Amino acid sequence: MPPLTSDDALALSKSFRDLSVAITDYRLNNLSTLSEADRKALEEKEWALLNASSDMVTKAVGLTLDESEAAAKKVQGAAATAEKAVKTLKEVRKVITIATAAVGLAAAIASKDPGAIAKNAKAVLDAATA
Amino acid sequence: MRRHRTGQGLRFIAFACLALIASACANLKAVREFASTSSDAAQYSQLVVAYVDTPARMKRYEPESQRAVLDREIAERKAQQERLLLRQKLIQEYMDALKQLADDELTSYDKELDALGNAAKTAKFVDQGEATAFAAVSKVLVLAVTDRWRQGKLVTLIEETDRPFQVVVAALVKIVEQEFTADIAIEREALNKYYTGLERQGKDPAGLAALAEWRELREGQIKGHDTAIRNYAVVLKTIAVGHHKLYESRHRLSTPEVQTEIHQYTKRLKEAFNAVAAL
Repeated sequence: MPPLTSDDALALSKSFRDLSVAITDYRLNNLSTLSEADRKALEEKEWALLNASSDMVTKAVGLTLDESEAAAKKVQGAAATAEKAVKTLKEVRKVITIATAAVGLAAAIASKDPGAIAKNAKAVLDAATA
Repeated sequence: MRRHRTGQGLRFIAFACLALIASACANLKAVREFASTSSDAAQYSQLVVAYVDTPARMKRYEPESQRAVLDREIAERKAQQERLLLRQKLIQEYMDALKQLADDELTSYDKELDALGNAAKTAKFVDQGEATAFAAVSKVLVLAVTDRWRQGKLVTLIEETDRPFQVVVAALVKIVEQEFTADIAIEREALNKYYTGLERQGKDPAGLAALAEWRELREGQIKGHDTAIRNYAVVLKTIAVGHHKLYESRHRLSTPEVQTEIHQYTKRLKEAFNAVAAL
């Protein structure tokens, strides 16, 4: 027997629900002629069929999720790739900031000003570790 | 003299490049807005919660003999809740990533590059004129390279993801539009059976009037739930169609015509989502 698909489960759910509705209609239309025991037995069947219908909905949802799992994994991979690209572009900004700080340090060294060298060295360190 | 000419030449190149890049820089505002709205709309979780809780609500209507079945059903749906919410989260995360990649700010390095240009001037490695030209050319090159790279990544992302994305969203549309609708039809039937049975047995007019009010209240809740399902299905379908439009127009995303079309999807998405959120 081929495995149950989400469409099969959904179709079964509808069949069970329709059957439950049909029995309910029958019971309500024949309330005066049915014995108490028959009424109760029919009502039990109605609820059992309605729950079987609900059970099939649960199965349909689970199967739809399973059937699309491979595609979901690909989208997940794509989202990760995009995040990496965004990170790379943010790193470009960081590289420019470090380069700016490094040029500033070079200028300070050329000027032989110890105060400026210390200040710019810290700026390079801050930029690199930000 | 020679240096002066070199400086002028560099400045000319810099201005020419700037003019070229200014016209070629991608404006991806429409893509960003569509992705952002899709991300916000996809995370609506109330329908999943309502579906998971249906068997618990059914306990109100069903006889004691059905408790064990309903308890099993509650456990099974609880187990599905995380997977369902993760699926919505996946759409949200993908759209967030798309939004970030389409963000023009990402390739705008104005302040950093200006600072670099100023640092170069201060360093006196080159004369003032050359330093200005050097800064301008660097800016143009960095912007051109990174923006082209970003656009390339965006196009590749949309190209490679459209097919699986359509499958994922179609599955969610099916769950919402068909399976959640089937679930609500069962609850409506349970409600109908329960209240009709009580109404047939009842004889006290005040009791029957109270019963009718309760029935109306519960039916109203189901109706609202039903409307939310229909609107959320529209939200998901618009996300899917909008993404496919991005795929079809992936090589001309910044053209005004495509931006206008994408903007229409964003507008439709906002309308459908506002209808869901208003319930």
